[in-house]
Amino acid sequence: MKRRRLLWILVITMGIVQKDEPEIPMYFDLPFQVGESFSRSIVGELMEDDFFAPITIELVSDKESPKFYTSDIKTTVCDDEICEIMYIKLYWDLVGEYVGYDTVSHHPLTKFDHEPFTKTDYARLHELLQNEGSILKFKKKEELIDKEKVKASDVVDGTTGATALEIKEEVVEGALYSSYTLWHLAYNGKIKNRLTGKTQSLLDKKLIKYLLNSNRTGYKLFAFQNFQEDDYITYKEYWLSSLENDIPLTRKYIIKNLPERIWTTASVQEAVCKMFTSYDVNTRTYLLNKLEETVQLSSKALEYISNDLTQMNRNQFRHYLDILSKRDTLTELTLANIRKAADDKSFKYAYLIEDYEWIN
Amino acid sequence: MIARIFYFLLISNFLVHFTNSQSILIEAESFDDAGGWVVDPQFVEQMGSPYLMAHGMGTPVANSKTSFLVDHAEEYHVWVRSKNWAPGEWEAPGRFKLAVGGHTLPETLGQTPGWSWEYAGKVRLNSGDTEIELVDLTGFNGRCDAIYLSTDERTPPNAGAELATWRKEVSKEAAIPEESLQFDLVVVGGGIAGCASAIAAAEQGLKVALIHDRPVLGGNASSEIRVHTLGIYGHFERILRMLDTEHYPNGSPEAYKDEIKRHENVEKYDNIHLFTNWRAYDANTEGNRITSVDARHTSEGKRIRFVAPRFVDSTGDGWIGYWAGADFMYGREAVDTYGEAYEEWGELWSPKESDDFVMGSSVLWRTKKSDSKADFPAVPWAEEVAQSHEATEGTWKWELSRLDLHQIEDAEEIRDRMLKAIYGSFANAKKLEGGEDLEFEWISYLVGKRESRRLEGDYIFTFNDVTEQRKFPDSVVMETREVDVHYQQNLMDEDKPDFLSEAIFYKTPKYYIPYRSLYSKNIENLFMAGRNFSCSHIGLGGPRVMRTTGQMGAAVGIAAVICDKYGIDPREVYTDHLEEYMSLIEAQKTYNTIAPKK
Repeated sequence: MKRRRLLWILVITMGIVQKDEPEIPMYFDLPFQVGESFSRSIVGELMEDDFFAPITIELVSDKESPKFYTSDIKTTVCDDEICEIMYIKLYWDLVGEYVGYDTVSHHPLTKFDHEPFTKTDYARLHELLQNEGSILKFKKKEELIDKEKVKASDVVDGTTGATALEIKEEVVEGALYSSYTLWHLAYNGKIKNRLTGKTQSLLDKKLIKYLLNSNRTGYKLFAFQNFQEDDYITYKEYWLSSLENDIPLTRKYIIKNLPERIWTTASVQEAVCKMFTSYDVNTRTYLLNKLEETVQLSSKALEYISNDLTQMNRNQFRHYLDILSKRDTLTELTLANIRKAADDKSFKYAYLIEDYEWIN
Repeated sequence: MIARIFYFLLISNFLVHFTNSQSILIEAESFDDAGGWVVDPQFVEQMGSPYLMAHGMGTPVANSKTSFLVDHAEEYHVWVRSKNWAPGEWEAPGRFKLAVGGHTLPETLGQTPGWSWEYAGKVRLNSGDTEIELVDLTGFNGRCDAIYLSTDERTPPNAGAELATWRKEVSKEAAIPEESLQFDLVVVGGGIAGCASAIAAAEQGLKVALIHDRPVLGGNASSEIRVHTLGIYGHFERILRMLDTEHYPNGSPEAYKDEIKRHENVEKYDNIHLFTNWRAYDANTEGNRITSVDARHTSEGKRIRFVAPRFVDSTGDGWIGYWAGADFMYGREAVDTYGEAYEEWGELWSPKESDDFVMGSSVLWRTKKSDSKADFPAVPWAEEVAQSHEATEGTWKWELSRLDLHQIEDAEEIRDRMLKAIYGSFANAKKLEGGEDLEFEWISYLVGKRESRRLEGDYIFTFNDVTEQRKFPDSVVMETREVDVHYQQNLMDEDKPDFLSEAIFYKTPKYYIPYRSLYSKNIENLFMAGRNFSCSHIGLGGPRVMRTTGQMGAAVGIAAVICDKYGIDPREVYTDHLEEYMSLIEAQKTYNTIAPKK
């Protein structure tokens, strides 16, 4: 095995120099500026194999609420032979999602041939770090380079021609290992767990409201995941709004986890079913499953769904008709809508209605 | 191919009144000459029969033909059992016509949503040999299950049990298969796991039946699906090297080379009796034991009863266990069921409440550059799925899982939705600069599944066995591959097409799977190997790849040898003969010769 040559002289001589407040990160996706009045508190230290020393994670707050997390990181970036030190400041939001980065004073990012990053490179890096599904997630370090193409004279991180083609398109050119190391830092599971754990420990009504009022998908889902039963009453308009407008994962979580005593209220059933057409395909199925399991079901709620039968796919339509079949009372409008669908020549699943004699 | 044609007097139950009409039923999959149509037996359990499909990638395929004997010169009504696989406000994509005795019937077929008998028209037939032809109009997956000619004008039953009963009556099919064969071990499913199982058992002298519903072996690794094998060899490098693939890009025709190797290696064992193009359709039981498995030839319709003391379910979908009444699992367990949280991934990894989401199915495809401009027809029926997505090949990310679509019961709809995604994305790519000379090289028409039924064994392998790197006294399979669980991209972003997935990786050192996960807990003589082994949804994430499932197959094949030696059931290998079993497993590392064949 080749011995790693660790270049650590720089660290001793310069160390990390903190920037003066106010902090203006190079890239920062949260919708506010980091003000002078922000306070910082240490969340804890964390050590990973590649870290030069344990990193300290800080929570940054204003007077109203916690705002984000940050950490100055000093890590090694290695290929097979050489290790370099990289300095970077990373930012995560309150649920541990990457939101930006900054360089550390006197330590601009460099490529492996020591050329400094260009403006484009910095932007490219942020773009890469925003991509949670990057191909880097699936690669081991040894898979980054197509070894057959490496020439003896090449400096490793500069051998973009040798970088596996699928990876080349995603990383900063000439900074393959730095890109790899930083992506895995931005999406480090231990860091994320530490951050969400801290946010969870701070959760109170004020913070829940802050999360619910934000425009961040992750914040709202996090709030719902930490709801107590009564919160579904207190924040009814919030979860109803998320059902209508949020991502499918959040909608599904709400539908699956609505407390029984809330769901059995006719007005809640009706409000949820009224939005049927604004749901994605999977949320619709979750809702139909829930309706099937519900004993006390509002006829009006079922009627709302009948307004948009042609939006359903085959199994959903059959499922809905099965649910109706088990009900003693249906509204006139529900029945009328089904008959209308049966006569609708453009409705591709109209033929399914023939199997339900009670309709005909 | 022997055409399956049934001539009968219509006195069966489906008619209200007794009639004396002449009728003929022709099963399309048994046509003498399939022409450019392919036999598709994937959805027999749902729609009733294998069928012929015009898989022309947008270019009409050559006619499929057969001939039949007309006894009575009369005027016949003609129906074709077909479906419009992409109904909507556009012309059906899979349109075709029927020609009988040289006359093309007026009605265009493949236009009705849902499988049904479409009326093709009336034709006057003279007695004697008559030719019938399927005339593809589009090359876009028109499908024909059967053709029915009758002097009576009433339509046969459309679907379900009624249709199945009618078919049996018409074909005068006996309750049990015509032929019965006896083996030491019956392996159902010729994927890598099934093949490994057959080889491991055959090398130790067992007489093995290997039943597979395709013409070629390999399952997802075959040239028909083209997924490369992943995972390590464990104890079974020698056997698995006979079966596995190079690390070619998924979808590559390099799959053919490995397929030839695989066939040569399986076929060199005289005591492996290979039944390709046979699809199992039932498992017969006495108490909690399987006595036999019945299978039908996918085009000729002949049936065989396979009798054996023990069976291996390597069907992927766990069909043998399902028919026999084995306990099974489907969907995602709640995170607390087995304590499988991966905290930073939360609900995407393992939900708070259980649900029926599973990892989805893929349909791989490739394009190539043509020498000249290559036209491609408009595909309005594909746009609702593909939307504005552009692509020129399929990758593992082309994966469909939707809560309302069951990976087994709705597999045809899943396949068809993927076809729409492919045709639509390709049509979009054709419109881009440089797309003029692109044409399809290959599109699979088989559903490449990742997850479906998982049969329950004495041990359920879970994520915890990975995180704790738990070793078992009966560790027969080992793996270092990351736990790789997929979710659909549109869960996080509704605007993403529903046929694209994303993966979550949990990287790990070596972990082990115990033998107790490889036999059924309640069907006493049933092994399982492949993705239908006993595991949780998350547990499947790592070992679902084909070298690992191949290890399972080999381990099961050797266990069957111990069972045969002592006349015992799979469970007793663990309880009473573990030491001997594990020595045999260990010996596989140095085993270099093929045992004497029966």
